[in-house]
Amino acid sequence: MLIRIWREFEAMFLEVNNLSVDLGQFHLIDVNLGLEKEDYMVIIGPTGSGKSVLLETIAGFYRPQSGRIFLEGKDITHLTPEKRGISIIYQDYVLFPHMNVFENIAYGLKKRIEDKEVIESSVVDAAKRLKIDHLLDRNPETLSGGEKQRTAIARSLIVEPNLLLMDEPFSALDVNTHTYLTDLLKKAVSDYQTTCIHVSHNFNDVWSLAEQVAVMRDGEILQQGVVADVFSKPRHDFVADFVGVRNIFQGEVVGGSKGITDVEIDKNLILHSSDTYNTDFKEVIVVIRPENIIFSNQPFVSSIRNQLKGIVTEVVLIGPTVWVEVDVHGTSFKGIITPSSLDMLGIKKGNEIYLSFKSVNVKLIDND
Amino acid sequence: MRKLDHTTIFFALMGSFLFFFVLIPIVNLMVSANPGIILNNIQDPSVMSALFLSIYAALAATIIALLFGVPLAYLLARNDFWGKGFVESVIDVPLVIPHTVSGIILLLVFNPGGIFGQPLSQIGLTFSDAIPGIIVAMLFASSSFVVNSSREGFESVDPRMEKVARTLGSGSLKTFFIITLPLSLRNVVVGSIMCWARAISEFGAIVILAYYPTTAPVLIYRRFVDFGLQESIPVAVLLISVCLVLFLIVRLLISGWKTYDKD
Repeated sequence: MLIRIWREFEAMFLEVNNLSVDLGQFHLIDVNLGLEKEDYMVIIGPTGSGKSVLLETIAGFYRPQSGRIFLEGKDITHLTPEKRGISIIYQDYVLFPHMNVFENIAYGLKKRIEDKEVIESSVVDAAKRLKIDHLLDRNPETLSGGEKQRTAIARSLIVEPNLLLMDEPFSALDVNTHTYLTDLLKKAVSDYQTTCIHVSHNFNDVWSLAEQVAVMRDGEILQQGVVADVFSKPRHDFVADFVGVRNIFQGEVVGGSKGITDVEIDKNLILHSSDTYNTDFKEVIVVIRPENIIFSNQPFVSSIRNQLKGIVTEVVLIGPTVWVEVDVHGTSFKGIITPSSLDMLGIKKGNEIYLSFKSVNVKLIDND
Repeated sequence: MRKLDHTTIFFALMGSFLFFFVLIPIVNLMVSANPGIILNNIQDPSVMSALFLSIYAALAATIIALLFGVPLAYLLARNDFWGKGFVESVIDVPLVIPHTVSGIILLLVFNPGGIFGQPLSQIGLTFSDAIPGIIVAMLFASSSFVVNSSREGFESVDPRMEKVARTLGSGSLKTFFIITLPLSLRNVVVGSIMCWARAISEFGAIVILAYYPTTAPVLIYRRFVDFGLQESIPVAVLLISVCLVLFLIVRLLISGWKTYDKD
């Protein structure tokens, strides 16, 4: 506990404090971010939310109207990009077309290291890590998308940056290449002990790479934290909606006792949440993650507070999971189960079914 | 082979008009000249010095245009600023005004009492009827080719490529010389050739600002006025041959040149 408190006072590895940037079309408003060394953060948000502007501001290409950026305790807000020790990787690789793969990877080393043999062995080493050591003589135009991006990753990691920024690095690649590259990248950044900020619109990148996640909209960071926290406890209805929580309802606090809050989301439909709530603010957003809904053919006696009866309106197989949509007195709930549970329960469109979920899984968010 | 449709045939017929309109007179000029007289002209010092003067003054004008035009082109390609449209228009003005007007404009400021001519005469530079006058007239008429073509080249280089180079430790000037300039060199070279060729051809502004020493276009004009068409033809053939050879050499050089246009 003491150690945790002490850490609160210590400066973080990367600190972005109250950063505001106005580029006319894009802007950042009062952005705060904090990362520890070797953290991997994925920033997600819709197109135009300012994710790229944030990366390029951290890299030093835009002058902020206000706010500060600290890297390893040093104020880098007004340093030129070449002095920050921050590498950047873009979606479309932007390799230098007049240099071959070797020269591309070696580019950043030439300024730091005189000895040509040292440069060569570092380049070969980086290329091996990214499995492109057989391509060193090739020109960028002859490479596939995945090979280009591996070259770009090697080029940026070889200078051992303090911070690696990635702007949708995989979104131009096909699914298989994406998976392969994710594994390579994960290994490479841990080998180089790199701290990363990765902008993406793909939730797979969050699951497979991120320790920290931040959700952005309209130039603002709405929520930042450990992945599990952000996804299970969205503090903002946009975050809940965006991170894929499908059961979001407008509700009104109608009462409660002993740590349980009663929320009416429709006439005759009251849910119980263990989120304590100040009844002065009656309008709330109610969030239930689909995987927290339990399906059964019969009502059962248990400590579960929320048990509802409804009619199955939709059964959709998506990948390895089944989405089940149930109508409860005109309100639609969405749950997620495995195909074997689907068979076992014999769930079909039009069937009657019981839904159960714990009050702890009913999240309440301020509706303001 | 592609099937020829009516539209293609019709457009080819219409389009060939301009092609032959330019080609036939040039070929006609070349064949109408008597080779013996052309040989005489090659041995004529006044003809050769006029040709030489045109070529090297134009080269000087092109180098000056590069020195100042490339930075301007890069600024225009990478930055949006208040009054940018005005700057671009000013650079293009010499293309749309009569060249004799350019000559008058230049004479007003470069005569020994003019706002440029007066201070420059202090360091011994005179422009009226002097080589610097010829260079200035050429520069005025042709520099926009360098600016516009280089600018297009710089615009075709992804700014993020420069950003990557910056994050890898290159300063902005080094990035320009290692990344941006090599990738847009073709445009810069093409612009320079256009500038050079246009400068060699300049007549109107030179006639007003620096009638002497005689450049090739002025010599052709004088031969025509003093002695008639037949006397002006050999010099014209020589000038056009020099220009075409230069043009051809450079076209050959850059045709083998790799391009890195954004795809």
